[in-house]
Amino acid sequence: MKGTKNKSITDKPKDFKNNLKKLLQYLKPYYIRIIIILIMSLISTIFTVLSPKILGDIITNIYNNIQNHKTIDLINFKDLIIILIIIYLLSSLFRFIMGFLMSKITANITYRLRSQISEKLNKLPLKYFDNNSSGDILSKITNDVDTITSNIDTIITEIFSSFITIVGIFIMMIKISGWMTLTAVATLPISVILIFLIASKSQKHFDNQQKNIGKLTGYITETYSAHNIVKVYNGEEKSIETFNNINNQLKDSSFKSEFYSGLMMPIIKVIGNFGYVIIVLLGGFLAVKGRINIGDIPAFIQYVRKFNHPILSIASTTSLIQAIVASAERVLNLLEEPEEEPNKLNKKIDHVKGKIEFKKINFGYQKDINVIKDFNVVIKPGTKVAIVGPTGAGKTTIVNLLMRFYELNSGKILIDGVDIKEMEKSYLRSLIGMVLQDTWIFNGTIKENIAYGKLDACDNDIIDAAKLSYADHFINTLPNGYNMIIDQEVSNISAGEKQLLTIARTFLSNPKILILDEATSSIDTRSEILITKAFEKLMKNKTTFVIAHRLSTIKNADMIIVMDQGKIVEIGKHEELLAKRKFYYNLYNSQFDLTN
Amino acid sequence: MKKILNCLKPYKIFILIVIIFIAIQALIELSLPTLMSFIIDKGIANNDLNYIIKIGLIMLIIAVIGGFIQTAITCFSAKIGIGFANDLRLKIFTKIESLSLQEFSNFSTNSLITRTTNDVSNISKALVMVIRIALMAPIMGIGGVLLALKQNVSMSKIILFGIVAVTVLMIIVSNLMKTKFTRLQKLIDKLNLLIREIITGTRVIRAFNNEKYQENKFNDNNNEITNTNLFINRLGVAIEPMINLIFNYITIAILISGVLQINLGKLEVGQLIAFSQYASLIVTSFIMLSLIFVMSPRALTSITRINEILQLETSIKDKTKTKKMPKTKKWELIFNNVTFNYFNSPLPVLKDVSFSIKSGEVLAILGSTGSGKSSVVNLIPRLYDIKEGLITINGINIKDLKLKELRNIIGYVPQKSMLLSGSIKENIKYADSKITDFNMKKAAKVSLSYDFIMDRNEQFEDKIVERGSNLSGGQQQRLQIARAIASNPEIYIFDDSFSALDFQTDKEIRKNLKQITKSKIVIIVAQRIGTIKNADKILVLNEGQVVGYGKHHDLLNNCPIYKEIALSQLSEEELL
Repeated sequence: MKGTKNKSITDKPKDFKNNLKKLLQYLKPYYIRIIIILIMSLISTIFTVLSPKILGDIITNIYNNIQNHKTIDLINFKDLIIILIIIYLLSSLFRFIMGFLMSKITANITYRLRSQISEKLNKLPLKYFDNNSSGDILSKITNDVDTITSNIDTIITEIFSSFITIVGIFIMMIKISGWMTLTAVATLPISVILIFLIASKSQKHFDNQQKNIGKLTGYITETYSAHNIVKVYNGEEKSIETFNNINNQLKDSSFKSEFYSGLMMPIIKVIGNFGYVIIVLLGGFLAVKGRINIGDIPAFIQYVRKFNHPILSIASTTSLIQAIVASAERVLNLLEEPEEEPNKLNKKIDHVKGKIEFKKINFGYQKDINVIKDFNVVIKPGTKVAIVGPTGAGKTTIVNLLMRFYELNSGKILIDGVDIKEMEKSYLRSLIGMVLQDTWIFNGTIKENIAYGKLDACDNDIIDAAKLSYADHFINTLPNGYNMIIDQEVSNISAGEKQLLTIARTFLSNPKILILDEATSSIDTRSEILITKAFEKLMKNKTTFVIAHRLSTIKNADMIIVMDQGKIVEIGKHEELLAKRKFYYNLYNSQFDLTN
Repeated sequence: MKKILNCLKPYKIFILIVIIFIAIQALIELSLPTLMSFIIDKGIANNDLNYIIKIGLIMLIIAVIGGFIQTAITCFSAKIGIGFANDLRLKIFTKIESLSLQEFSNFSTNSLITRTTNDVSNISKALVMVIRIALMAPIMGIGGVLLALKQNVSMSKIILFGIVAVTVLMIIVSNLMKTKFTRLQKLIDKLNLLIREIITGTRVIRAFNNEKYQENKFNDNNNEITNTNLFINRLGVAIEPMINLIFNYITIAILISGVLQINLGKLEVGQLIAFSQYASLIVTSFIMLSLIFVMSPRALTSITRINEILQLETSIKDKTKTKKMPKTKKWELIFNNVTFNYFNSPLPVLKDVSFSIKSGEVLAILGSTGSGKSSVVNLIPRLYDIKEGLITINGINIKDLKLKELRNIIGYVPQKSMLLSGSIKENIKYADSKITDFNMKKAAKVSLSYDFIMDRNEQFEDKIVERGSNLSGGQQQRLQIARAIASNPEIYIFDDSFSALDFQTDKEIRKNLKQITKSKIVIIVAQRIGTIKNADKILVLNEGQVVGYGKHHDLLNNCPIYKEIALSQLSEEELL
């Protein structure tokens, strides 16, 4: 927590003015409420500033009475006391109402920002995710949004009242005594300098501590992930020893960091106590000389105590605002990212046959570097097409283009004669089902995960789909069967089993065109052949793309497209291509070395 | 809870010192107003400047002492908090290391990592806060009341009333907050999860056109977080004005009661001022105490999470009476009707699995995903324990052997890369640092690692970074094989260890291995028929049961599943 705070305070926004303006837009719907808050803040602050003086006056009055040996009649300050009671009540009430209103405002803004980001994420082109780490995006929606909203709160309620408090207290203090005010103000720079010195010293140790935490976490992660090996090779003691070493290093740096940052509080307190003593001394002296009243001493002490807090608030304003705007900039930049091209047309295909034409396609993830060059092929409806080639040949890119995850640089892709650019994306994607190399399992029950292919599917459909994809058996071996809650990190489901679930998902969605992008690479060959069989049954007369590095699985494809460096180098059936004894032949043989 | 508190034991003396120091500190804070009242009542009232200066000097000295004591408190509380965290982390790590996979696999690795790091630091932060701030409030409260009691009974009653009112208020608020806080923590975890899902699943979400579904799911959570947060924040903003109000009214009460007592001659003005300042000091320390309520739910959750780990007892450990490992070169491993369930699961992963293997033989295990291949090999080093049946080595139940000795004769190569950061040398010699350099190099040569190791800057001393990411997948796998060879085991287990290697390397390593493993037990879990074709025995598993057991050619004839797998990889002619 401390780390993020320090970080966000040190980094500066690039375009301060503009982003601040945009941020203020978020506050616009609440202008009236904010004005009410400010007015209440003004009144309550004035009350807070006045009350010590009133109290002091009452005490002076009492003291004078005593000096004159009179009995004190409470009736004399009845009015003052009633005023105090009302002032205290109102000032607390106002503070509460302010907080109450402000909480709602910040809650609304937080909600709005978060929901905007989540909607935005679904509209961004996939390119964005290639260039930004998920940790970054995550930190925007949590840390940055938190920084903005929790600090806006402080700025609006605290900073304004701090200014008024300082001015008000200063006036009241001068009214009591110029000399005392001077002494009180003089102690301020001392504490500021001391705090600054300690902060810079503790920062160094803090960095050190962070480094050691990183080291420790790294070691723990590694050891826990290799638990099998540690066990089998009797490495427990060794790993505990190493852990202990790092742990002790962390202990030393943590202690220093904790000690120095912990000094801040006592220093403020000690200086505060010094100020107290000096004021009492000076006040006593001045009171003896008759220059101030007795009641002014406790009043002054109260003022000095109240003076510190707003000064610290204001001192941190600039860095606070900077932190807010820096966070806002990151969030706003995300919200302003260009979205996927909107659909202008929404052509539909009357009766989907599944003829797919790639016409002179060129595409690159980055400018000037084309990953796909002049890709040109016609795929007959209902055929099984395999795309093969070495890593980096551009196999997956073709799929990304067909799904319109990325837009072409030039060329056209047609399904049954209709340009996919002229279809709505959601329509296009509803035609195609795909199973990817990386399984994606979300946090939820197994049932929900399968039902993701068709949100309104009933239990029977789900179980049927699981049976078709051979997932039913292993699901039944799990603790709660179909109702077991799983996520990406669950360890008693293997990668292959996760893949079976995503295949079941695709069975359920029953698409017209099917893409298997290395879908079986984490599944052993036996399961793969069963699944492929099931797929063939499902995909009868429907177009299927299979991308696989294991060539044995695509031998029976109707057409094999051999790619290398973004280009088609060969097209044909398995036997034809082998007979050519060229690229495919070499690729194939490199995998089947059978001499034993 | 007790187990966690035990970590505080070594710091008992420190804690005692800190409590004493805090008590002194509270006394100092309270003594300043008292001395001030002397200045007013005796100094100013009598126009005695010397007295004022004398008392002033005493106050200054006390303030200086206060500074030192504060620093000492900071120092000791840091020592306690950090030392406690250090000990607790070690305790958790040691516990986790002792767990068998049976318990270990009930948690995700991530959750175990957070428990060892974040949760510990949450508790230690809260502990330091408690020591520095929370202890101050009650001590200050008691001290203040006692001090007031000495001077004026009715004043102390008012202060006591204030303390009780503030305490009751805070108990109510914290109770209201507690459940909401635990809920909030869960919701925030969920928020992170949902966002991560959107990011990692972009393609799938869009392919299924489920953007709206995902947004709705997110907004449900977002809504609940916002509302929970709002509730907590509103409670939070209510605390300060309420405490302030109580304090301010106490001041007025002190004032009124003071006037009455002054009239009776029981009180002086300076004392009156001192009393209202006591109240102020006590209330401030209670406001600080309320910070603890913000931290405590988080710390409590962390305590529960850590307790879950510390409570675990490993089920796989040495029996009190163990049998001696035979000293021999001839070994025989037998699985006799072995049935095995993972923790909690209704269906067994393995059912009635039987086979036997002797030194000098090679056993291959083949089957589809989820058929239980890896489970079979995990049972041999007792990473898990079986439910029914018997596993014996030379006739001895492996449960009767010392775990250490059992594992000493096993060389295990996992499917996933599990290298540890450190030098290549340390990794190959992982089983025993006493392994000679000669044997280490031999192992490197057999596993075809020698050449690429020698190509590296510092050869065997070259550092492998975390998760071995400065090595290719194939290189990692070869080092893992070297590690197994260097430990000179009697039983080799290769759990799908060759799939990351290209065919050429695979073949060559297996040729080299043949020499070394001539008189050993070798168990290979594999997917490539080519890798296992020549095994002495092949065990074919399907859904946890043995469906074939024999040699390649026999299985081709009598095991349809085997034939199917074989044909999926090789043509009819290639198989023969």
